[in-house]
Amino acid sequence: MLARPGFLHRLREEWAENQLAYWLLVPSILGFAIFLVFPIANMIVTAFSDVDIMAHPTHFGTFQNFIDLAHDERMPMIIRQTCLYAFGTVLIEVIIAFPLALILNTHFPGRSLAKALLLIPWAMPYAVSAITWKWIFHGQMGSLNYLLSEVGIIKDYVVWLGNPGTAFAAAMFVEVWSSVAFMAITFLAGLQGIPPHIYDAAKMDGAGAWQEFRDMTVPQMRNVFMIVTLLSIIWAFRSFAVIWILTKGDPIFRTDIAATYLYKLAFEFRHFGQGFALSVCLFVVLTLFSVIYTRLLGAQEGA
Amino acid sequence: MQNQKNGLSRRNFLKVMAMASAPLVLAACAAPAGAPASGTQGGAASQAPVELRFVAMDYDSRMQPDTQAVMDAFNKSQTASTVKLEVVGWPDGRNLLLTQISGGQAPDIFNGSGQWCLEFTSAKETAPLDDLMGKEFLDNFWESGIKAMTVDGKLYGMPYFLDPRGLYYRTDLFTEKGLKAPETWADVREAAKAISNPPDIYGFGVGPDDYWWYAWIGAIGAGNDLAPWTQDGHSRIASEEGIAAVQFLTDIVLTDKTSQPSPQNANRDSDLQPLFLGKKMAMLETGSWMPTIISHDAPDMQYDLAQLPVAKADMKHPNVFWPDAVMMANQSKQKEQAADLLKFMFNAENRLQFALQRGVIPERIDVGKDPKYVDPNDPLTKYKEFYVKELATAHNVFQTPWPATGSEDQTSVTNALAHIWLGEMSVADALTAAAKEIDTRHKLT
Amino acid sequence: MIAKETPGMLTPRMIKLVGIFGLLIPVLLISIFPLIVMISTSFKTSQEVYIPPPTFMPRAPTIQNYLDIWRVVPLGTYFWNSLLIGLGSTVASLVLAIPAAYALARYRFVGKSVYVLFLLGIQMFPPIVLILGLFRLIASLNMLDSLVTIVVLNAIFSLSFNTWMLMGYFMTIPPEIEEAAMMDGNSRVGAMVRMVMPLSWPGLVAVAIFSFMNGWNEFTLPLTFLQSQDKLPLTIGLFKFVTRFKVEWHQLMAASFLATLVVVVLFMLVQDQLTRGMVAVSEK
Repeated sequence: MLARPGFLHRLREEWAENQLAYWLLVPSILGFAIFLVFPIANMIVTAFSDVDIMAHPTHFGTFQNFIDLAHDERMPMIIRQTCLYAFGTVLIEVIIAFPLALILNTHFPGRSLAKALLLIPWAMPYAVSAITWKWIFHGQMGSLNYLLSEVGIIKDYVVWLGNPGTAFAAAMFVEVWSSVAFMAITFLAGLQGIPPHIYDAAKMDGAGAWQEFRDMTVPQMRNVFMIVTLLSIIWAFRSFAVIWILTKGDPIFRTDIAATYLYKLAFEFRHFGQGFALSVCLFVVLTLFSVIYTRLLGAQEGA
Repeated sequence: MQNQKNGLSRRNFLKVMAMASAPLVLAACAAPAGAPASGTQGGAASQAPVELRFVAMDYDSRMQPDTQAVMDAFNKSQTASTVKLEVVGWPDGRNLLLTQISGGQAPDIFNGSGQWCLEFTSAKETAPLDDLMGKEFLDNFWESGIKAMTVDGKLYGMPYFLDPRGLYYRTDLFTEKGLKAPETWADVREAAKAISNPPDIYGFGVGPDDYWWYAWIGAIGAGNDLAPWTQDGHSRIASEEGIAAVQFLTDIVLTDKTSQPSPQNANRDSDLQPLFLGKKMAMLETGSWMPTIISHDAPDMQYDLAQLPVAKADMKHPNVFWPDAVMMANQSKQKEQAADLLKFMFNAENRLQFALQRGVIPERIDVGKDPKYVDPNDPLTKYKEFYVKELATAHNVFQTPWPATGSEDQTSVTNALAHIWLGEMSVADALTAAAKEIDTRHKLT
Repeated sequence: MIAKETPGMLTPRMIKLVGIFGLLIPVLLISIFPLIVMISTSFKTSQEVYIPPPTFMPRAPTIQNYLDIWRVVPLGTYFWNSLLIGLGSTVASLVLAIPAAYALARYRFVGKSVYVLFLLGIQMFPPIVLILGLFRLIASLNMLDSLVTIVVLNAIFSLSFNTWMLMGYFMTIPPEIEEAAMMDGNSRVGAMVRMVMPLSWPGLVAVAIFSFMNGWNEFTLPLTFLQSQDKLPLTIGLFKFVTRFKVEWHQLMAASFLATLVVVVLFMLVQDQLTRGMVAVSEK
């Protein structure tokens, strides 16, 4: 902020050097400015206002919504569930997607068919796939119980979406199911991007497969890994559709996560201020998390 | 190697870009075509018809063409206005309307649950209809339906079919066990115990929400005050009757184990009705749409319809309904024309067609008696007659003064039931806690 | 990872294949399980849907649902609108993301990290909380009931992934290529368009597919901003089969299967490009 004598000069120099870069950012920044600044500002203003049941702020400048949230005795449970849901699904996705990408990176008969089949969950409209899963999970009419009892895994039919534990697990399963293909394909791309000569050199040194994986593959994958997991965690934290269609957070809010709970607060119960305040909290937490996460993984931003 | 590929790719790329931009241009051209029409008609000559928007909630996949036919007929019948129909899926309707109304873009006319009517009315977003419709016109309707949409003496929504409930039971199973049609809770429990044989067949369908209401009114009986709150607004759910109602359900769920498993999450439409259609349930309480569904999806089912069961044999059978409404937005700048549309939609002929198409119970008294509605040759007529008769004792869930926190209060009850059925709390404890939660919300403690 | 085997050593290769398929087949089965249910239900009558147990082979297969769905809802119109939204979102995404990604890949400018954080930041709001404000904005811009609105918003909401992806790709292309082109008398923009873009073809395809999928699957935006019945896309149209009191499973599954099929065929046509495009992300 200090007005050094050279400041303007440096600004001009910066402009001369990077003029084109700034011009290139104009379309996207314009897009944000026109379409996102107002909705985001509107939401933040609402979070700090008294709000009527039609979502109109009536009086700006209050922390009451945040205080109400802090006093909401369900919040600790919602936070726990959100973290479990977000980190849990992404962890499982990584555990499945990484070996899957390694497999798909080898040559074997039927590889392209396997890839095409893998993409099917991504290709189904998610609203449809979630409602289809709900039907599959139906306690008596669903094909899952039928299949599992035919195979002999279960004896009594399970009402998967009826009990908090199984319902939460089922929701996590569907979330993983719908996102794992995207992650596997992105990892695969990362693996294929590793220049082959790196491995050739390693082979000359007589490295074993595990050593090769540890010393060559893992470091080369770091950036892809960082970007994909970070985006996936963010997406999982604000995930809504799967839980909403499968359980609506029932029973007793025990399958609610941040996005479904704030939706209930705002749109079902008409506490728009509280709902939007929760959204602001989510934003702050995710921003902090993103900064820490990128630092921890030591990835260089941009260049 | 790289070069050759590039030549190909570039051509391909351009082709894709060209193909892709064509629709974009098309879309851009198509977009403004509809938009200005509604924006500019304000200044147009007085002869030009005004455009009305009707946002219609979807009841079934025939809703769009059926309603469009009514709108086309209206457009032809007069020159003052034309209607644009927008059909929206029911589950998304409430928030879409909220978004549009809150954004100053309310449709002139929209339908929805009676609950939405009361919510929007409390925000002063619905227009009073008494004067626009006229008393003579409104006299054609069931009083209970009109009362449901009346707030502080003014009518804010036209009742849009009524949905009293009944107890569907499988006559083949009942005959086999030598049972008579269930009338009381004891009958229900006895029949359920006799028939239930999980997982092949469950005795009685139990869930939260509607199912709590059936038990609640059954505990009190017709002719008494069925509202779940006292005159001064305190919740009555933990009263003697409230506890008896939930105890009845809980006995079936936990003691007799004759309901379907895990009733705490059971949804009437997506969980329980399929079980009944799959012939895996002997008794299910649901609405007037069920015979139509059964005739499509399980035509060979042998069933009959009984009144909702009551706690004791000497009680009168009550009924309960959640009326839907057609509302007019207070934001509408063309209320006169919108009222004409409402009158047209609600004439006897159109309402008869609607009731016949949906299999629901008409809100107009004359339609309910129309020989075309209660056609003696139609096998479903006896069910229609049953429901029309039930309207006399039907309690309106959205009876005013209806609390603005209604859906949150209902959640408190649902959660109490879940606590009980998951075995975490006793009936009395859970209901007392829920009643306290509701009273606190209403700032009554 | 080790692609080539020593000739003659059949047994280790067999073991490896068994391992591969042992891991792959369960994952794939789970991946396509809903599709199997979908296909199976789409050939059932509405009555059979409710006959337990839910067998996978229809007892009396029928193609009636595939004929009926076109009559019950204007499925053709929905398909066409989804295609317009998908392709439009693709073009709009590329228009927004290419310049931004190029700037990030080639320049070190003041505010770069702020921009990157900004890209990430807009991903952190659940879109549902922005809808109310967005609706007021779109209404005041007189952009309601227009496919263009959906297309533009889709492009903006998927900008962060697209930009990141393309930035990774552009960085793999040696700057010397542009410098050489500029020596030949091209401007910087000219060099970018003539040299970098064609070389990044696979990366562009990857972003295009991601954007197409976003547009094709988008539910909330068309629900909120489209009003005319003849502008609705498939995602909304499919829910005409999910009605107030029941779900028309037999028809919903038939229509959904067709919708899925379109995307899968599209995928298979461009899969190689997709994979090659993805390669670039990591090549830094």
